[in-house]
Amino acid sequence: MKKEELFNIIGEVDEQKVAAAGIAMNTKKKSRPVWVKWGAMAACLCLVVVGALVVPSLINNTPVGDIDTPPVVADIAPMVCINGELYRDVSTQISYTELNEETAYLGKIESEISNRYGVSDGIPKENFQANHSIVGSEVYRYGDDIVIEINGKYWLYEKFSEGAN
Amino acid sequence: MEDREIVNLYWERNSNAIKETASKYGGYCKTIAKNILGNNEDAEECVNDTYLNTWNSIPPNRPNILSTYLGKITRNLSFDRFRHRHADKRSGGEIELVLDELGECVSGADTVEQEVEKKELVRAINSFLDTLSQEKCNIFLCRYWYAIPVSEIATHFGMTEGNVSVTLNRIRGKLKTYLIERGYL
Repeated sequence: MKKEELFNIIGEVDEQKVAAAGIAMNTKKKSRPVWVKWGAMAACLCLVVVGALVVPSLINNTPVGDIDTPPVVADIAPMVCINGELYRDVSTQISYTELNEETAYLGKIESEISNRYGVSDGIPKENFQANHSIVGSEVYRYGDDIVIEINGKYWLYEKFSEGAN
Repeated sequence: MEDREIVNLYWERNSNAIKETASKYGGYCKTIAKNILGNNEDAEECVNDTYLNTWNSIPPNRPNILSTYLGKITRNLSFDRFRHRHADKRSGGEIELVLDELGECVSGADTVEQEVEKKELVRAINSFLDTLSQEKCNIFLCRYWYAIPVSEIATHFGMTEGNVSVTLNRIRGKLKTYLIERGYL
């Protein structure tokens, strides 16, 4: 068979297929805008730069705060300091009826630690101080723990000892 | 006008049939002729011959797909003209490249003389096309039926020219293997 014959034979193939190819040729595919290509490249570059900054600190197990970044206050549980003891929020709500005569009013949260960069490690140290925004909330003794009224609800804060976290 | 209505005009021997055909498919036919012949003047003549040929063949024919019917006539007329004009020299048009590429799929030795054998080959190539994905089948036919330049195929299919060339190269390789396995080469 010669190439000219093959060309002629291809000319005889199924007309449905030929028509489909003609339609495909007339239906121009929408090419991606140029910015997609450059945007993807820019995103990749950003990833490389961020990776180059963060990965070494992760490998060396260096706290992120030590490389001129803020202390990670958000990672520390909500706590309060009452009469020299630390109490940690355990996300447990106490109903009003559970509060009995042993429940004693201790006072109000008076201050909130500053979490501005470099000022605090996120742990309240002064009496009636919290590390979250509950200044003015009433504090009650509840056995060995305390309960704090926040927006009309009573939340349990358990006594927090070193190494318990 | 719908294709069915145009075909009816031919059957009624109404000369508006040619006018309507030219209006709807003149550009389509000229593109095919120009792809094969490479110049406007020859392409224009082939398109006019296509109208005459269509007038003479409908009736008795009643084409299912008028565009392909016209395209096929244009393709055959254009290729005949190309062969007569360029029997001794290379024109450098798209068809030269198309034929060179198809030359990779054939032995170039024996000729297919028997009509029966031609029909078998058409069936084999149809079966081969069925093994391809729709997109690859379209790309193959755009190149080897319509003789469309690789650059245009790339634009229309959202591919690079390199991708189209590689795709066509692989399809030709498969076609050759397919024909050898079935004893046609």
